[in-house]
Amino acid sequence: MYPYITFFGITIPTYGLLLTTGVVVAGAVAVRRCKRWNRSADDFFIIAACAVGLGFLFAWLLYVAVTYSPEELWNMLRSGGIGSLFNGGMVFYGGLAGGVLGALLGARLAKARLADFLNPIVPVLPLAHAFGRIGCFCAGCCYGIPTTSRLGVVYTHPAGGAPIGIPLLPVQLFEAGLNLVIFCVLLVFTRRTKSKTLVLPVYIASYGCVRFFLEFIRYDAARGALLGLSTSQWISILGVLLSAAYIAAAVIRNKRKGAEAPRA
Amino acid sequence: MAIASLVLGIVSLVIGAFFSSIGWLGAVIAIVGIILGSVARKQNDDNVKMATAGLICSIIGLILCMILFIACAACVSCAGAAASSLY
Repeated sequence: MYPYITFFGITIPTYGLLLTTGVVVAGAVAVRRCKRWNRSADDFFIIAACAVGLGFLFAWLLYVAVTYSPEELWNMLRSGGIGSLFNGGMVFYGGLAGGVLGALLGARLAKARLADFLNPIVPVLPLAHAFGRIGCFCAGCCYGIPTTSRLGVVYTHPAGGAPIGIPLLPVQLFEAGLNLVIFCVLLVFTRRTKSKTLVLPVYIASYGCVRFFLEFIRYDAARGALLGLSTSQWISILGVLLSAAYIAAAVIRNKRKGAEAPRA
Repeated sequence: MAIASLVLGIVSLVIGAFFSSIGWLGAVIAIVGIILGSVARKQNDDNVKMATAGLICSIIGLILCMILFIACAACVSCAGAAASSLY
C-alpha cells in the first residue's frame, strides 16, 4: 500500500506515523476521561509514561526472544550495540504485559491507586491499537492469507513485507475494526459497571478471542508454532483463561455479598 | 525537578528532530522528562510553569522520537522479509 508518505520533502514511514497518532489520540481521550472521573492528569501522565516506556520495551524484547537464537542475538549486540535490538518488529502481547507492569510502577511513583485509573485508561488501549493495525496495513506487514474473494488486496510496493501481486485478505483492517468494536463495548461497560478493575480482564478476554481466531487467517512468516498454534494464540488462550477466572471469582464474590453489580 | 524536566524535554526534542537513529535514547529521555515534569507539577513546585513547559517539550520529543524511530524499526523489519513481520 503506502509504506511511506512524504511531507514537504521529508519521507515518513506510515507505520510509525499512524501508531504514534493512535497513541496521541488515545492519550487525549484518556486525559479527558480522567478529568470526567476526577482523576489527576499529572498522575495519569506518570502512569502513562511508564506504561508506554515499558510497553514498547517488552514488545521489542518479546519479538527478539521469539525471533533470534542466543547466538544471533549475541552477534547482533556485538556488531550493532543495544540500538540493534530495536531494529526489528514488535509483539503486541509483550507490549501489553510491559504496559501493565509499567502502569503498576507508575502508580507507585505517583503514589496513586492504579485501580482508580483502570476505568478511564483501559478502554483507550484498543483505540491506539486500531491505529497501529491500519499502519500495519499501509506498511504491508501482518497480512492475511491469499484469497480469491473481492476482499483481497494486492500489494505492489517493493518496500513492504507482503508478497507482491497476490490478492491477500486485509486481516490488519479486520483487526482494526474489531479493536474499534472492543473500544465502544468497553466505553459502554465502564459507564455501567461499578467495579474498578473488571474492565482490564474484560479487555484481555475480548481481545484474546479476536486475536485467537484472526491468527488462523494470518499468512506472514515468523509466527512461532507449538502444537499447531502460534505464540500469540497460546498467549491468547492463557489471557482468556486467566481473565475468565478473575471475572468468575468477582461474580461469585459479589453474589456472596448479595450485591447486584460486581465489586472486584 | 522542573528544570531537569525542561532540560530533558529539550534534549529529547533535539534527538527527535535531528538524530532519529538514536530515537530509542530520545524516547527514554522524554519519558523521564514527562515523569519529572508531572511530579514537579504535583508537588506544586515554585517552578510550575517551567515544569509544564518541560512536560510539553518531553511529550512532543517523545512523539517525534516515536514517529521516526518506530518507523525506522518498521522499515528494517519490512526489508528483512521473512523474519521481519510485526506480530
